[in-house]
Amino acid sequence: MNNKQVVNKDMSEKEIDLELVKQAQKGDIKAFELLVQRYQQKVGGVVSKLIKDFHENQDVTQEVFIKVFKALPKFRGDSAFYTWIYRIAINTAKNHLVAKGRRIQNSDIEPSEAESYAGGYEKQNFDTPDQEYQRQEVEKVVHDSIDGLPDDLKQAIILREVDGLSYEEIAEKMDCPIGTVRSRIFRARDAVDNALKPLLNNTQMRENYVR
Amino acid sequence: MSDKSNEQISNLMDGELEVNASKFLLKRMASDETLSKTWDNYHLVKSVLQKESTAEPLIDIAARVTEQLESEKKRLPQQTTEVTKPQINRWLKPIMGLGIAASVAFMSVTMLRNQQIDGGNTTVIENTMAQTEPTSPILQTNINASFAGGDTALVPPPSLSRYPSLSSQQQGNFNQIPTYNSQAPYIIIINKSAAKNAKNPLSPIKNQVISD
Repeated sequence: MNNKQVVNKDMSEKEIDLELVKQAQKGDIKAFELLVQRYQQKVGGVVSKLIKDFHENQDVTQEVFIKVFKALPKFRGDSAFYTWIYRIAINTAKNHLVAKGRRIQNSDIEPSEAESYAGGYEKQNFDTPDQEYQRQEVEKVVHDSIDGLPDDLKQAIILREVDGLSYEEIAEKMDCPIGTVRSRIFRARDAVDNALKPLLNNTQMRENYVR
Repeated sequence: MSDKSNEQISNLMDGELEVNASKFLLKRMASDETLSKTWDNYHLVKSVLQKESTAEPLIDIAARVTEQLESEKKRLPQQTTEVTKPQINRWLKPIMGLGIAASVAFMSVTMLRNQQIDGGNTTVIENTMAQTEPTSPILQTNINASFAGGDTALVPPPSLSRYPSLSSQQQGNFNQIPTYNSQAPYIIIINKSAAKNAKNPLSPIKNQVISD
């Protein structure tokens, strides 16, 4: 059993990051886009600790990722990729405030928080009611789809995403094989994704999200 | 096929996909827009579920970041080929030439100086080479053919050194270079001070090594 685990070792989340970083360091922008997709919400959340305005937040978050890409050759993988981005995000946000001549609030944010930081946003100022509506719409679709799932799928995805349990722990809790857990989590995600697609494929909607 | 790929993406983002399959899938996602979008949406779902108690905005800046990087990538290579390469050629060649010339000049001055510092520091070791008997000593330097004559006056070269010139007594030593059987003397000049410095632990070179 142990031997099988060694031979078929799964790629950890840190290793996934490193693999994408390696490709991005070779100049693969698409690989870097996957990293951005993975961490944009978390980074946006960190930036929102210092910058409340939604549009400003997006601009600074974008700047963070541009800086990250340019600094990739210096990333040696000693720390977790997200810890590294987190530091860049805090510095960029602080520099942005200094450049704008504004006082830095919440300066007690420490890099040590990075590993455990899940990315929750601070309350923000939404420039238009439209954006607030769109955000609520996305959240509603996600929650409605989760509510509409069969119990076993719903429980599996909640245990994974909200409680943060590993597949092994979920299998134990649900008293089923790991393979079944894998399948349930995927089917739950796929169902939510299918419900979201019409909303996110609406270009206007997407544009409004971004800008 | 698509379902299979999506399931793999779901496993991958939770660290539940085998290493080789993960690497393969990451490469595929980087070149396949549909797979990349699925990866993006799954992470969006994750974010919404993890932050359900807060009123947070959801952002999607990945496309903006990629767009900016692509446009910078298109701009930068042209600049680097047009500007930096000719600069290197234009500046490096004369500097390298000057460097070589300076090194040669420095070595010449140093050699002259070593010969003139003072008599006490310079040991003249006699070697001989008979005009008739061929010998080929190793490490010998033929200073001047005029040394050959025992009664030929040796005149030191004009000094370029900042050190005082040799006293007349010391200069006289030039005339007393011993000859052997009237054969032309060949001499090796050993700079004692240089040899001494090499052994001196407080010499500047040694100090530099310690400080590094």
